[in-house]
Amino acid sequence: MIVLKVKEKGHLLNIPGMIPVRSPVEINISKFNVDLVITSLRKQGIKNYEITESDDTSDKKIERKQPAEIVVKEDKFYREEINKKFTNLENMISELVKNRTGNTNENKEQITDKLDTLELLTRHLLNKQRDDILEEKLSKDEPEIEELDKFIPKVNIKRMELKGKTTKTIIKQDEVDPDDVDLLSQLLDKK
Amino acid sequence: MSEAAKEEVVENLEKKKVKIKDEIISIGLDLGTMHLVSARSDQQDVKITRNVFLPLDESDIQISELSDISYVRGEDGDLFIIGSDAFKYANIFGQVVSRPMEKGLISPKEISAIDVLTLMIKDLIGDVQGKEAYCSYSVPAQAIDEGRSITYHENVFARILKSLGINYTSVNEAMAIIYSECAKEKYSGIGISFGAGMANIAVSYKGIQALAFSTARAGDWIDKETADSLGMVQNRVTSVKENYMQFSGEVLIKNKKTKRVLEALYYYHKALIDYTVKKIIKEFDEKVDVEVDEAIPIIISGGTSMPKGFVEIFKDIISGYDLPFEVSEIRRASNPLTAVANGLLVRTMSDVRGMK
Repeated sequence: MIVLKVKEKGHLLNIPGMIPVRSPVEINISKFNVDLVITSLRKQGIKNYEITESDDTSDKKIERKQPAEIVVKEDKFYREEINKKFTNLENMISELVKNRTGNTNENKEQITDKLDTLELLTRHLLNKQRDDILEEKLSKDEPEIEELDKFIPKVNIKRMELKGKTTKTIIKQDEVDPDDVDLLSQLLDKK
Repeated sequence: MSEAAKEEVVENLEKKKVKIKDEIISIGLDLGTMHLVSARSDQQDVKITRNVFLPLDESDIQISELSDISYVRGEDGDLFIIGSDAFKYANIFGQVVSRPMEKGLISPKEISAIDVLTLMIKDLIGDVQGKEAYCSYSVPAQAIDEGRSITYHENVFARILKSLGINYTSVNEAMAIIYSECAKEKYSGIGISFGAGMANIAVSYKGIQALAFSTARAGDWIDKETADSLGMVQNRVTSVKENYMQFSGEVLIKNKKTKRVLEALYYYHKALIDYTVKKIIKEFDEKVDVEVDEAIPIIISGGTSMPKGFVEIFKDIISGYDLPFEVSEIRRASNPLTAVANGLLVRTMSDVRGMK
């Protein structure tokens, strides 16, 4: 039996072929295509759910999403990297101070310059790392367009017709100035 | 070649030009949470309809009662009253209207209504049979304060236009305001669309988008917060806002309750503007790489900016901030309801010109 659990309150689960239900909920989805169920959940912005397959003896987890856990992992990884970089920086500064004996103004200036460079370098590295993590996270969250396209409902208006008097509001507007169009066309062409 | 022959050639070329002009139609389609707006290159009429519908069963109503309104009839007896009449009949039947869009994007609750939405768009755009139609449709930018992606929304409307036989491309909603209103500034400026579901912001420099983002706070947010604060139904607040809200001029309302709603609406409008201005400054500081060396205008548009005096309140609030760009002027779009559709039309015509 395949079971979907949504513990978070307040969601209206609308899965094709199933009566809409409110969370928290636990439903048997054995008769449904699991991929379709996951896509429906995604469409509705539900991220915290659990799908389990169980037989008489054991439970087998199919997919489980716990955004909170991912964030913790990322934070831990991020903090470890920062600590590592700080330790490196500390060692480099100690080395620099050791090598530069005396206390002349020239030495002070050189040390300050080095420290500024190192600070900039560290900041740059940390920013890059954060961007990489964010980019990776975003690319994981965002489904591929082709994948989405499969689930976008087909439009079929052949069996429907529009009737009655139309209720549109109509506002008269000046014609678009061809010079404005030309200018935009030129500017966009330059791009 | 004789003069007569030359004249004939020129005449034929002119005829051919006219034919090409007639066969290609450019369209601007603004897909808003509250309104759908369409502008066409071959018409001076900009058409607007409410983006709502009311599903009914055929047994609920006599078809003869529907002669004066617009509705969609399905093969299985389903009826959908579309546009502003949906509100009227929702009151009669004690039902709530369905809104295909929510917070600027296609609503996950109304996915099944895509066919109805398709017919509404078809009706709004009008006949394109036998012509080559090109359409730019509006899409919001990714919201900075909410995680919903615009990909699905963008693809659903692409599919709808494709099913109607129209060539399509998506264009950022706030950039469309620049295309509509900033020709004299060579398409440099900041466009802000205060819609119902979202506030969309774009910074354009010579027609090129330098920054675009949206926030999930706009007209619906104002209504909800006001309703929550006063313990009222949101629909009632929306109605008071649409009928009586103004920031300048004499207030003629005597009803105490309505006055209280207007007072709360005033505070939430100010809170919305303040929030949006702060976000513009932050995003500009962090993300704009282009060196904007000239003063640029800010154009305010969208249904939420309709109340009289809105732009003055905006000017008052923004003057309290140190901006990372120089502002030449803050002005309202020539028509806040149609500016996006008009800008999209300009963009489509420019794209079509580029194709020739």
